[in-house]
Amino acid sequence: MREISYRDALREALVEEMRRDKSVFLLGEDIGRYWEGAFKVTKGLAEEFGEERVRDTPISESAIIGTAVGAAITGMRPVAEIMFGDLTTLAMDQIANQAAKIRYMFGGQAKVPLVIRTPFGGGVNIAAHHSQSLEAWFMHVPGLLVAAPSAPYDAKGLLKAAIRSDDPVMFCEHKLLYSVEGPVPEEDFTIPFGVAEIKNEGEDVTVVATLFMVVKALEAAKTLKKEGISVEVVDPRTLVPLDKEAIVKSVKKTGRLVIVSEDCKTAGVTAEIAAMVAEEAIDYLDAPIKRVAEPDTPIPFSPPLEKHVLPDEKSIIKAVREIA
Amino acid sequence: MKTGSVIQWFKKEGETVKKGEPLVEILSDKVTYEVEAPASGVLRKILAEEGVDKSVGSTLAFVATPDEELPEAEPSAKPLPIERPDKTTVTIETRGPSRELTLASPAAKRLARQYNIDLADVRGTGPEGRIIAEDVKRLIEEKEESRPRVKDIIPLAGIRKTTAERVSSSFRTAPHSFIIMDVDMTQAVKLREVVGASYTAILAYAAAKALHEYATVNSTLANGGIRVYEDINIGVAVSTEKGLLVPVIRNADKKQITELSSHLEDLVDKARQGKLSKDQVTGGTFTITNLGMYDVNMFLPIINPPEAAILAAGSIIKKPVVEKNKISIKPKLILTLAYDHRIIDGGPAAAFLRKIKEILETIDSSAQKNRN
Repeated sequence: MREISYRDALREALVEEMRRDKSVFLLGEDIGRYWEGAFKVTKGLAEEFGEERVRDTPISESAIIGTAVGAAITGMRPVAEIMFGDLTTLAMDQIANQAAKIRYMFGGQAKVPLVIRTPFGGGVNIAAHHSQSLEAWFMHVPGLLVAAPSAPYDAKGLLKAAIRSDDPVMFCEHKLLYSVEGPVPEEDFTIPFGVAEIKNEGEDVTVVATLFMVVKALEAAKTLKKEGISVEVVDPRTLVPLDKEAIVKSVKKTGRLVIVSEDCKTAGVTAEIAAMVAEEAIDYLDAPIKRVAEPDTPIPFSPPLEKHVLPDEKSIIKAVREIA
Repeated sequence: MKTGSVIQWFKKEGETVKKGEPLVEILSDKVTYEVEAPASGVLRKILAEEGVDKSVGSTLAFVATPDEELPEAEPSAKPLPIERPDKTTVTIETRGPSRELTLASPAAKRLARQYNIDLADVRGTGPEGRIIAEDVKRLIEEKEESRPRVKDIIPLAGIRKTTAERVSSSFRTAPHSFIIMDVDMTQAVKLREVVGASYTAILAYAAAKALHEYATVNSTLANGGIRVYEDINIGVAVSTEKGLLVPVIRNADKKQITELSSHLEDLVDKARQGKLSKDQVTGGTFTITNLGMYDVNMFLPIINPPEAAILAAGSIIKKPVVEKNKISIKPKLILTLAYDHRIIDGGPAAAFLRKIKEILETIDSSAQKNRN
């Protein structure tokens, strides 16, 4: 199978869905022909689909999502891009109170088939306003689906499924994943939400990781294999719905769990998964659950300090060794 | 707290001690605690022997440099003018005796519960000596190794399950008593040759006749009474590939021997082919079990519940018999009657068995015509 980047896989999903369905259109800051998106996901799309379907917007996240919600209610399938995940906070009312609630408030008479694509994560030295991982915020809003693909294959399959979904989807990407390459089929395919993937089979310790941390967990698994520790890397792929069954199944096999996510430790993705496993599989745990996460600090601008707070291969290896 | 005593000294006289190192264990008011060496040096002399009460303030020992001169006598204890709760003492007392906590992972605990293993028997190899699943598994394996290896597990189902339930219920509830009798089978052997009936059929014939006379054997204990049956329905134990079946010959006392024999043959065939109907395996009032074909001399059967008795037959074996002071060779059979002693006593049971014996010993082809 040919290998393409995560960025190209996302673009391919957008192109295929826009060609398939005329109600699909894009909107966001600088996604059009002049800048083609901050991370170049929408490169060339304005040329193919025109400015009507690839719309540059004013710098107002609230307006972007508000417009998209309105369009979605009237039958369009908008894919909004928020340039940095941190800036979704500016659109939080539109996301949490409107997009997520409308279908329920109108007793199912209105639906909001909206996708909000946005990159989270640090590691590129752009400081506290542009490096956060806020996936857990959206996990806490009933009515939203949350995707978090870690590989080009998942990015394409999940984005296509997200666009076809009648419910609003927070589509979480990661800045450091855009250039990561991997095999992606050229044909049309979707990946259902709520289905985790075992990215590496192992026997001794389960490592549940999301987004860029999956890449780090796989590197850690390779290193640990040389020490004789067999690590099973489970990628939930979507955080809402969460594939509890796959995680619990793996924990039952290994008896040991490390959860890795780049968001803050407190009330974060790792907290939710740890609590779920404690509720559903505590009798299978042979060691305390370990969490590798950002230690509740604003992401520092200083590169050495940023490196210090972000989870990486080393901190994953350390956590695994502690319980293996 | 007024007095205390030394439980043990951690050092012997002459040993070097370091400041802060545990020196002696003290018991007072049912609380024990360790006293650390107040200074570095040599434990020169112990004044408080283990187990002897000392008042508070007494000197317990001298720690000094090797050649330092020691005070000759024990300095007099400074009396405590006012006794007030000492902070340290209170803390220790409220803490109470330390409880041993067995550290074990949830997975280890689950395995221990599952295999009925006491965690106290498991040596933990996890962090801080924590018991992990592997430790419990090791113990399970050790236990398994001392047991015989299992080749196969046959599920307890179907006929096997029914039989298991019935025999154990019978064995538990009906007090079994046994009567054993020799029978001369000369006449029966002749009859078999003449009419071609099987021995089991001949036994059924004799039993039916005897039951007719000894009706209480043809009964069951139910609802606080002995229900004596009008019908004499004789069950015959048949060993099949699938297990033990007991087809029933209804109204056996009203049938001729050849009729009984062909009927029984038909039932046995059906039993072996698994084609018995429900009617053909229910309603029995007495059972016969014959293991003669296995060269069995005699055996003690279990009553087929809720019946009152069962008749067991061994092999017919030619034996020397003394009759009128002469030895002759006769075909002999040992019959065993197992009966429920709640219903039948030894006397009537023996009389019943003797009746069977008499019928068998005097039976002839006239049994063909002898109908009730």
